[in-house]
This record gives sequence, C-alpha cells and structure tokens, in this order.
Amino acid sequence: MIGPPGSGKSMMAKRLPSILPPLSLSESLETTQIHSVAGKLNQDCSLIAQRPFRSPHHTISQVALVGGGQNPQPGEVSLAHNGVLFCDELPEFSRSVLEVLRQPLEDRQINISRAKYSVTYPCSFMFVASMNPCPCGYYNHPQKACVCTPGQIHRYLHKISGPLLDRIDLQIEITPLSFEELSRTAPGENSATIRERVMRARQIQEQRYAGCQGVHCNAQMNSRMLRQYAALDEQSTEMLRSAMTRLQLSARAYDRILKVARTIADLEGCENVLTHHLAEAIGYRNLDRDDWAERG
Amino acid sequence: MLVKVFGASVQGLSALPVTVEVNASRGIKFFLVGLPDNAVKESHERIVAAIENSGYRFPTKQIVVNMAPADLRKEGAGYDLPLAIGILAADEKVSLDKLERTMMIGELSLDGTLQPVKGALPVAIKAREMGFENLIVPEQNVREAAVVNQLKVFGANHMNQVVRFLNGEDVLQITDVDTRAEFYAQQSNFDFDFADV
Ligand SMILES: Nc1ncnc2c1ncn2[C@@H]1O[C@H](COP(=O)(O)OP(=O)(O)OP(=O)(O)O)[C@@H](O)[C@H]1O
Ligand SMILES: [Mg+2]
Ligand SMILES: [Zn+2]
Repeated sequence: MIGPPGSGKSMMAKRLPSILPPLSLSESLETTQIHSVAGKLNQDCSLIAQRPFRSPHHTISQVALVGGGQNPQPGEVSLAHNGVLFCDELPEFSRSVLEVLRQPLEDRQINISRAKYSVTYPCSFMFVASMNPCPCGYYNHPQKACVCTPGQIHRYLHKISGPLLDRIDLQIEITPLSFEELSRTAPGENSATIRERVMRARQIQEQRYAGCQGVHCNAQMNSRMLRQYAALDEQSTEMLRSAMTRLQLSARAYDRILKVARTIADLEGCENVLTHHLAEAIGYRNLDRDDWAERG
Repeated sequence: MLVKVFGASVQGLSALPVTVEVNASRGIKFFLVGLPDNAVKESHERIVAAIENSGYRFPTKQIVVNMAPADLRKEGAGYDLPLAIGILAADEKVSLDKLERTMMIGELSLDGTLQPVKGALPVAIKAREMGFENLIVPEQNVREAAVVNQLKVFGANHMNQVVRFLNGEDVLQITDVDTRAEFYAQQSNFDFDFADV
C-alpha cells in the first residue's frame, strides 16, 4: 500500500486478519507451538484462535526478523506463521533486513544451522507492507504539494529492491479521503461479510484442487496447473504479453499475475479467467514500472 | 542413593526427554556431566540457593548429576526444577513414588519461586507421547501445556509445592482447558473491523 500519511494504510492492514479464513485447529497448533517456543504466548491463552498479526518496528535486526541467535529462536516471520507480517513504512527498514526476507517468502520455512545441529521453523505468512510515495509523503496528493526532488523520490522507492517488489502481488495506491468524504460516508462493509466472500472463493479453490496433493489454493499452483486452470484466450494472451514488455516483468511476476487473475475470477464465481480479471491483476503491478515516480 | 527425574529439552519446535540422574554418596563435591551448556552449569549456584531458601538443606554429600542423553544439546534454565528435585530425592527428602510417571520443567529463582520457561507446549506434547501421567510446569505456562489432553498438567508457583505434591502431603490443582470450546469462541472476536474504514 503506497499512499500519503493518514490515508488509512495502517488502519486497513490491522483489519486484514478479520477477513482471512478462520484458523483451523491444526494451523493453530502449529502457530501456538512457535509462540510457545519463543516464549511469546499470553498467559491466559491456550490455543491461539486468530491468525497472528505481527508488525515489527523498522529498526528490527535480521535475526529478530527471520530467526536465529546463539540458542536459535523463531523470528517475526515464524511468529506470523499462518497469519500476516506487516512492515509499516517499508523503506525505513534497512536494506539488508529487507533482503533476508526474500528467502522465507519463497521457501515458507527457515533453516537455522549450527555446528552440531540445525532447526527448522515454518514461516508461511501473508506479507503486507505500507509506504509513503516519497520522503515528504505528499507526492501525487490531491491537495498538498510535495517538496521532494525527483532524485529523492527515485532513491526512496529504490530502497525496495526489484526482487522483493516482484514478490508483492498487489501493489495499491491509497488516496486519502477528504474531510467531507470521511464525515459523509456511511459505514463500510463489515469484516464478516468480506470474510464470507473470501471463504467462498477459497471453497471453489479447494474443490478445484481436490485431486492435487498439497494444493489448496491458487497461490500453490505450479506452472502446469496454471496453464490448465488459468488458461487465457487470444485477446488476454496479447494483453499480458504487452504488459510484460511495458512493465518489464519477470517470469515470476508472470505466474503471479495469472494466480491473481484466477483469484479475481473465483471471487466473481467465474469459471474461466476473462480479460477484465487479467486487466485488474495487471493493474495491481503499479510499482513494478520503473517510471512510477515520473508519472504526472 | 541414585534417582532419576524427567525433564525435557526443546529442539526447534519439538521437545526431547532428558533424564536427570542424581547420585548422592559420601563426600562433598558436586559434578554435573552430560553436555550441559553454560546456563545449565550456572544453575548449580541458583539451585543451592533455591533449596536452602525453601527450607531444605543442600545435602552435605558428594552429588553427581548426569543429564542423558549426553549428546543432546541442553540449554536454558528449564532444568532447574528437575535438578533441584533430583538432588532432594537423592538425599531422601522426596518420595520416589510419582517421580517415574512425572515430567517437569521450570526455572528457579533464588527464593525457590518457579519462573516460566519457553516451549511448554512441545514439552507437553512429548510427555503425552511418551506416556507420562503427570507434567509439572510453572504456573505461568500451565494453560499452554494444558492444550494437550490425556495428560495431567499441574501448575506450581514454588518449588515447595512440587516437593509436597510428590510427597503426597499436598495436592496441586490440575488444569483442564476445554481447548476446542475456547478456540471456537474466540475465533471471530476481532478488535478491529473493516466497517470503520
Ligand atoms: N478511509 C478511511 N476511513 C476511516 N478513517 C480513516 C480513513 N483513512 C484514514 N482514516 C483515519 O485516519 C487515521 C490515520 O490512518 P492510518 O494511521 O491508517 O494512516 P497511514 O496511512 O498508516 O498513515 P502514515 O503513513 O502516517 O502511517 C485512522 O486511524 C483513521 O481514524
Ligand atoms: Mg501508518
Ligand atoms: Zn514528497
């Protein structure tokens, strides 16, 4: 989520666990064990009942983030297992800390080796991050003026490396609501309603992958399954091809866009991935373009 | 006299049993063997203080403690309780009755108070898997350990309570948690809602 101060980025991130499908008992046992080993369980808590939401401060060290230490301990990525890891103000994290995130995002587990033994902690989490569009925060703001130079903006955005950005499927610009809009608007859709929609889409995926061992949702599809379940017609294929060139997307991003498109189609209850699903999925790749900060 | 007390070592996300063997014979030395790390070695001073401040005497004998299996990495202060109980049992101050059916973990303060440990849940899972009847943990860890059923989980605040429990002089409260009921009750109880956005 990229947007100016006060536009509601942190507010929305905090609400994410409330729209994710509920934890199953076996997921909870995994997550609770990690928190138990880290000594992070609340005393009145037995099993953790809700997906964890971890929001480490940007001054966090590599070890505290991914785990390790003399007597190896799980890090924030493992404490977020089966839940959400939220990095607020992403460019404020040190570059080296951001880079060590890449492996766990890919492997969904962390291996810590010591001379005489090694331990493995699972870390399957949803990665969510927020950032301002520029150092002053008001680049592209409807009312306020940005005081940053193009060079400053460029450097700021490039603190997030290409390979990390590549792993972020939904890159959304948040525009602030004006005071009138804030006071006028009726309450939004509640979390329970949104969660039902999410669960319905998940159910469709469970059924689709019933015959595929270890695959329960779109994110877990391999390339062969992608060709089968996210097949594109000629027009969509052409659209994706030109987007790949225009945005200079990697092969990883290609697969990921297809998965997002498949998910958008599932949320609509649509059997096939259609052009507008794909167009929306490509639209979430905003920041991949090199000229983001140069747009008017 | 030679006694065995059962503790556990947390390795990654699972626990392995550790047998603390204590032998008391004539002499006045203290030996700790079986690859304990520095934190465990330092526990000697702490355990002496905890025992004496709990109203017992540290035996004026030669005490040899072996932690088995010897090749297993042992770290942290979770062995304080089995070590202290083992030393008192070797000195015939603790009845052996329940000891072989009981696993215990806990760090000791100098005054004999039990401090919470990391990994009580994996330890409880291991205790049940190995067929132990009882698990004694510091009071602060009791609810996480009680997630495991078919195991009597006892929480204690002080070493004294554990000694009296093992000697049949006093009871410890069993903690029983209806894990599933609590789990499902809290599942949709969120502090924040998208309706506010
Ligand atoms: N869309 C919105 N609906 C309701 N309240 C909002 C909305 N956007 C912002 N707010 C209000 O503004 C406050 C600040 O939002 P929040 O802290 O989420 O901003 P942010 O984008 O994280 O800003 P920063 O970049 O400064 O961290 C919220 O607590 C909320 O009260
Ligand atoms: Mg914020
Ligand atoms: Zn600016």
